[in-house]
Amino acid sequence: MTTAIPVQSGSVEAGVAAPGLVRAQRGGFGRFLVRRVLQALAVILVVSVIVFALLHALPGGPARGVLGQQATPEQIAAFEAANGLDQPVVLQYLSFLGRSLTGDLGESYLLNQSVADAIGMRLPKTLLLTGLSLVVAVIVAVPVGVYQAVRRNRAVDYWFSTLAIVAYSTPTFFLGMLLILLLSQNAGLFPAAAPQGNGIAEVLSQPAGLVLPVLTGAVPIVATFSRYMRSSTLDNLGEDYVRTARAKGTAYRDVVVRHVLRNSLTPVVAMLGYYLPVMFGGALVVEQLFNYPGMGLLFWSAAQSSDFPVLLGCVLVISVATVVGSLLADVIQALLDPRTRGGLR
Amino acid sequence: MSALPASGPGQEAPADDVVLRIRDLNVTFTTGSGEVPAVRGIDLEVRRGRVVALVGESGSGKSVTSLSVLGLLPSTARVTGSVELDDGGRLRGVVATPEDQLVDLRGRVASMVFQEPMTALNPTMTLGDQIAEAVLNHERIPRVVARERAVELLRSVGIPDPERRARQYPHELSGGQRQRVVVAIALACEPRLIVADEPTTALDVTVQAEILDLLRELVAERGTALLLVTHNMGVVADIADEVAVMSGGRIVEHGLVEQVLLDPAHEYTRALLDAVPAAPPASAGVAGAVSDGGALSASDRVAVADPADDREIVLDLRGVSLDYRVQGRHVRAVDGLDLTVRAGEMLGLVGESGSGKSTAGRACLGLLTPSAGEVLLLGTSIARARGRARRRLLADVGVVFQDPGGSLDPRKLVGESIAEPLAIHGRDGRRLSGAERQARVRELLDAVRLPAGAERRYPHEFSGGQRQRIGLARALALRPRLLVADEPTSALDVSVQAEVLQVLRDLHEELGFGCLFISHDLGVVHELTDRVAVLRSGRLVESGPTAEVFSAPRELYTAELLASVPTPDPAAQRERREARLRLVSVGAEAPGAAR
Repeated sequence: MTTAIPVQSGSVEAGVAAPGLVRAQRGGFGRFLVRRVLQALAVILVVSVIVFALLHALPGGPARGVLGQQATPEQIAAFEAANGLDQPVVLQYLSFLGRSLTGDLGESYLLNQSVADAIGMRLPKTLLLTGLSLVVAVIVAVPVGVYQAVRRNRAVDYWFSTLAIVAYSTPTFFLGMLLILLLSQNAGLFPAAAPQGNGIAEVLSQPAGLVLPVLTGAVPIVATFSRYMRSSTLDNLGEDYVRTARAKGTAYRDVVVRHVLRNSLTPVVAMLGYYLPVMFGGALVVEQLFNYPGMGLLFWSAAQSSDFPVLLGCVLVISVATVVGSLLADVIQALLDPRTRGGLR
Repeated sequence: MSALPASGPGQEAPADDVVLRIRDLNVTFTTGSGEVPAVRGIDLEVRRGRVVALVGESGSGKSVTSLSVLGLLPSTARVTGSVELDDGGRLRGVVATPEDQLVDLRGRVASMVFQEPMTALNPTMTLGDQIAEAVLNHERIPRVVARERAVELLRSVGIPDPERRARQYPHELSGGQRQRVVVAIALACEPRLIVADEPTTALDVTVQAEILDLLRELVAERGTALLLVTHNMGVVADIADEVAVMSGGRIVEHGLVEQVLLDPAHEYTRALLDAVPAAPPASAGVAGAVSDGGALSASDRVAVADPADDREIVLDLRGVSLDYRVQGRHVRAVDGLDLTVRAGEMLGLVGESGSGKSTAGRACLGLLTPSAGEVLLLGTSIARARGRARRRLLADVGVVFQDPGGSLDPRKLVGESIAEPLAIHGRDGRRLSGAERQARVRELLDAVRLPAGAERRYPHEFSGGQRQRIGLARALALRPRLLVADEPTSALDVSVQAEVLQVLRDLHEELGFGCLFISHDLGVVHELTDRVAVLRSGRLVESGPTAEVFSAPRELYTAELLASVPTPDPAAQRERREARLRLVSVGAEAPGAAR
């Protein structure tokens, strides 16, 4: 999950075009939206079933995981009775589903905290980290991609391409350690540990500590999205409307900025939505590496200690984020393109 | 006119209103496989208010010439010689000129109209902004003023309700209207020269005629010179004053339009004109066509052959309706179509884009299932046949599509592609041995006049016309009783088209299959088919023997369609044009025939 998807020179459209869009044109935007939301809900439901089933298939079940190898059968029976694990799986699932609809995701076995509270405390921090990484990445990747496309097959283009390949084939944990070594240990520019604290405000009050985690998260995204941007821009530079714009006396620079940029950005911006789950996966490693108290770290420790309710809650949140991300991607794409926006009026 | 200072060295004053002077222009492209010359030493002058047509087939260098006028050639092109544009009394060079000077010339001194109106406009920018940009590129005026100019320009190219249109996006307009917008962009700074590269090729004939009318008006009113690049001799006859014929990167003949088209001096020009299918007569049917285009009598509405004709009916469409499902809603593409094709007969199915003619063709192949009515092949309903019976039925239908490149598998040898139907269906219910298949493939290649050994080569080694003949060989591999040909020559040059059509005609006579020939090209249909059916918005407008329908159409729509086909004779074309304009005015008055 942490390595970015390598993009070859081919068209970016293939991976980007939302399947529902063509139909959305004629059926009206409202209907398209309703159908997509219903689809999203169905996906989340299916994911919850699968995850629930998988966690129950763990050898020994959660009780053994929490209590350890030395636990007696009586202890395990007591634990299972206390947590409702002695009931049929279907009933357990239904009661989980019913409670989660009211926002109650259960109690953590180990944290002495409700799952909702645990996630509620950490989710904003992860959103902050990934959000900052994303913003930094887009600010860098878009101009780099466009520049590469304009200078295609020249030395600059090759250099950036090579750099991108190196960047997205470097494992995130290694990249993070490299950055710590170079910028923290050797140069002493930034602290190696992420800001601690319970609230966003506390985290934000120590901006220097955020630099390395944000950078570590951003580099693979830059690598991927500069590739997307390059190939999308190249596709558009070959379009007839570019020739029309040049023929009316628009300077090449203006053609790129006024005409090509907007058209190339549409599929790439939408792609960011699909990229959300990848970024959550990246957060897992980054948070672990910099000891940043976010969702990733929570997920990591819950998996290590078989904290079943927390694990289930995390997976559910991530799958919701994934589905919402791709929903946003479709909507953004539909809104940016006047051909699909027609249905809104 | 321009707020930008004119820069660059001024040449001698142009004589006689020359707005474009090309001297010894050579363009060579550097490709992976070496230097490819595209234009070899051409000379051309275009004067104020004149329309000069540059004609030739694909690869003749005419489009490259047109792009070199605005310095729009890609960086792989090496250009020598000179191209000069008249900029307010001074000639300014285009070859080897810095980009910033070219930017100043483009749109202001000379501008361009392109072939594909569907893609020539930016899909995410409003039409008004795209026109205003052309103005703002060369004049320092406030944006609002430029927007007002854009609306005026839209009005002047005949777009109704220009204020509203200016706020719309390209996809909200039809192809013909988009081409008008492209013309408006070209006109924005009142250039002395407009270069139009196949401006009407992608359009239906009736829309083509409208765009040509618009261009003619602009030239007459504003004195703008027009360099028109086209492959269509009828278009040349319709609008041009002079013609330059290009072949192999050279101008082989140049003269006044009457002289070149009616009395060509060069044999290439003669061959080119000979290959053009004769346009169907237009003026003859004009007087007769007075129907209101409304309901037809039952006998008119059925494209059934003469009952006295006792040849077997191979294709029979009975009240066929075809729908496309879009988000649960049905959109009717073909509405209650009746057609028959007898063995040995060729039926032309004509109509403009969106008329449903290709959809009908796909139903004959069993690719679409009618929502009403039925398609009978050799007396058996396709929809009711299942499994093996259906396969055997469909083995009696051959098909040729428009794109000769796309319909052959690029990774398969030509012989394999042709043998494929033989391998799938066998012959007479038994499988063929490898040797038998090969023998049949060679026989077929011979029939479509391709050299021996062609079966061991790949599609990319053949030209477009050859590939289409390969497609024909494949279609005929199983000796079908019916051939469905969907625009088989629309992507080809006229000389190549003539070749392919000749092969088709010969094979048709020899093998006696029934043929449904789908085309938008009325000239080709006129030359080739016995009977014709005219389709409009999915409904049959008129049908009957081709000669009869084309010489005395009963429907206004048919007459207008026929009159819109330009003929490569300037004097005759002038008459056709007037005939068409009369028809259009009749159509405007007749309430039932609103388009």
